[in-house]
Amino acid sequence: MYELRHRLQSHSFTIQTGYEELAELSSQLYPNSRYEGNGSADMVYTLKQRDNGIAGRVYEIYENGVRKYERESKSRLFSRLEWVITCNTLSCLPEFLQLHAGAVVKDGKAVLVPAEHGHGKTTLITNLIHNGYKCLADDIVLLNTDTLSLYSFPRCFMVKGDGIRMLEEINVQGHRHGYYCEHRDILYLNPAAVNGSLIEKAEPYAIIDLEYNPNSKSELKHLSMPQTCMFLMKRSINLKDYKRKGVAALTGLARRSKCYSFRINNIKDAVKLLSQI
Amino acid sequence: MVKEGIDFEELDDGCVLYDTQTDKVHSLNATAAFIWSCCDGKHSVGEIASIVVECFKSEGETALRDVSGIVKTFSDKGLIGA
Repeated sequence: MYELRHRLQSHSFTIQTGYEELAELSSQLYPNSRYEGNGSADMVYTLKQRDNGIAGRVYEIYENGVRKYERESKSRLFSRLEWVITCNTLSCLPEFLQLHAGAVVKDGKAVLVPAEHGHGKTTLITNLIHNGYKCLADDIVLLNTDTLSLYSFPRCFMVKGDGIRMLEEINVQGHRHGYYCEHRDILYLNPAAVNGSLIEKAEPYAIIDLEYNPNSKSELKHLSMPQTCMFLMKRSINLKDYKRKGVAALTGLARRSKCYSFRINNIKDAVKLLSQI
Repeated sequence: MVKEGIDFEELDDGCVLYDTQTDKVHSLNATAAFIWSCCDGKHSVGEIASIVVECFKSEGETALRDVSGIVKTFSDKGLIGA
């Protein structure tokens, strides 16, 4: 049995499987939170595969011994596994206010990019870490509401479809730092493999409201703090659990940061403009 | 008069109000935040408009109309009461 042990902040989990290939693919999901050692984990994910007659091979995910999901391909299996681990882990980290955001750091200054899926966070952040920035996260940032420090949620970037094509177009060689799953439809990109750029904690410096619009010119504009607060709140995952303390923390985050609206129509301009912050 | 249970978070260019009873958050620009701070039950709409004219160099009639509109919005959103 292969066992991969992980610790993400205060939450520990293990991925186990009897299949070498599944273990190899599992190892690409959270390579920067791995640790060697013994002891029980808060959650154990077991991966199994079996042949299902005419339906072909199927893959299964068990959570603490209970069969939960079944998928027909490895790509779908690992998409689901990554999502399940993320959701379970976040639910076990109530000590952080969680933001749906990417973040990079340069000269000790963190630039926070709150945005929903499909708004170009991963593409932008991948480019920034190839241009001298260090990575805090591409999709989830953890906020300590007392100190307002930002913490990493260190999973691999999971790039799909058009995202892979865009990275290839701008000559970010995925295969050098990443790992393709099955039919090259998912690329796991490890930010730590790009000039060792993954960091765990940073202090806020700027907040960016990102909008990708190929039909208008790239521009970086000042955004008011009240507007910044509102969109930070919309991008918060667990604000409902924090209520007034969360509102105060996000207001404090905006107060401490430079706030911008950032419209981009191509990635090179975006990197250039951000360097002016 | 400002309703009880409204948290006020001041910012350089406005403020954020959090209604602890409804869990709703409202963002106010600098002018609206200023008007909010005047809604203390001691100032009439006309008096607030006069202060806005003085502080923001607005035209009297425009200021009165704007202040009335903002105060009505506060009232509609349940942020102020009688």
